[in-house]
Amino acid sequence: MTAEMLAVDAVVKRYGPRTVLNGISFRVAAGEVLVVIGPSGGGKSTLLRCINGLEDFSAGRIAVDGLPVHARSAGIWEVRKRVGMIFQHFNLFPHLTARQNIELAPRRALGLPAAECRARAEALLARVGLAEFGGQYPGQLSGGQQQRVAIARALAMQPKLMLFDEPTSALDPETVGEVLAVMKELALGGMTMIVVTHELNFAKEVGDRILFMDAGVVAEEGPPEMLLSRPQNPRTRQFIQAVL
Amino acid sequence: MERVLPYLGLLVRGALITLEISTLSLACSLLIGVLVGLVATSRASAARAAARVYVEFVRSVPLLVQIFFVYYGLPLMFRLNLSPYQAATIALSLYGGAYMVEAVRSGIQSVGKLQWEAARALSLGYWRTMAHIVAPQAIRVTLPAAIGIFISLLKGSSVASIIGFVELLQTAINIRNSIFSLSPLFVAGVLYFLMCYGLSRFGGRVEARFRYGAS
Repeated sequence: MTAEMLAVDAVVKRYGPRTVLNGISFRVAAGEVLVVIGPSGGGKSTLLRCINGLEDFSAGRIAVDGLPVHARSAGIWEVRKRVGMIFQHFNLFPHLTARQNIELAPRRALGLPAAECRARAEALLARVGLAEFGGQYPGQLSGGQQQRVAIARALAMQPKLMLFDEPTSALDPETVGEVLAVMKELALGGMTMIVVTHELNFAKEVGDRILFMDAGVVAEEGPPEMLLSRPQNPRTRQFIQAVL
Repeated sequence: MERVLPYLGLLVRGALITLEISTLSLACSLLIGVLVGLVATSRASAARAAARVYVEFVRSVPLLVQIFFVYYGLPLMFRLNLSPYQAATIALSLYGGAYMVEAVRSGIQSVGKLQWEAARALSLGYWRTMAHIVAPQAIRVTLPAAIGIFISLLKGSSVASIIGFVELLQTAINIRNSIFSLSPLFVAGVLYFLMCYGLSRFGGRVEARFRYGAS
């Protein structure tokens, strides 16, 4: 049995009268790539945001690498050190160069020596194919390049779990491929990943398991080939037909 | 006009005093602006309300009235003795500080929520995020406003002449009273202009240093 990286148990999230997550439960093993699909408004982003404590949840339990997640407790910082997050709109720091974006958190949050942060940044820039772009500001980079810098920035903290919140939804079609390629390489390297996406080809090729979320619950889950070609739930079938 | 020439040195000295009290008040305003500005953007709602009251009160009462209040009112309330210089500095600092709070607040708020989230996801806490991510971006919004506040402090310091503080304007008035000519006031006007214009040019240069990237 492989080690468990994430446990989500009966998590409920309410915004006022609206229930966004309605008792959701699943597990992610170390090294596993879980792809989360489903209609917008189904709670996918909220789920990711609860995992690293950007949002508090109303009931249930989340544990990352055995550490309980509570958005308002001091322990949340230990969780965040282990969890990297990629946003739909990259959210790079516009006043810093690509290299500085990557160096900042290891330097300031982990307190690593400047030389080591620099070395990490250079290695990661090369890894995402942007070795020559370290001195560029985010505003000088394409969307795909920015998202790759964002991935490098998250990896600089050496997380155990990476969350991707629709990483290619805001990209021009011609730059989607380069970002997915970096993600695929990361998955092959053994990173534990949760990817919220509409890229079903990526899900099929890279995902170990797919979770179909609808109305705040897991409507169906299974291996990609099963879930995508022979969905059991009519809602899943409907969604997949609409996306393909 | 030539009758003012022997007094030029005196006027320049007045200008330096004006510059001194404005600079001192600006430094205090900046300190107030940053501290109260942080409070004004914090989650502590009671402290936020107190900051609001300070800003609204100071902005709604004429500077002249505030100088009177500090010079004549505070000594009565607290049994202390303030020189015109001290009273003017306090009043100008509180006045500039209120505007600076607004400049700092709008700067901080110009940095979107997504930047805070990205920082939090990277394990950066409030102070580190403020220092390394928010402040460097906020300064582009705050700085032009701060230059404007410095310029109005410099001109506003002339109001301190009313409590007998001899700065540039009061120097000019004193000279006028002895040579019976408007020319000292004209010279004072030119000196005010030169100082303010210089500041504005200097500010533009500092602003340019904070531009980044392709924008």
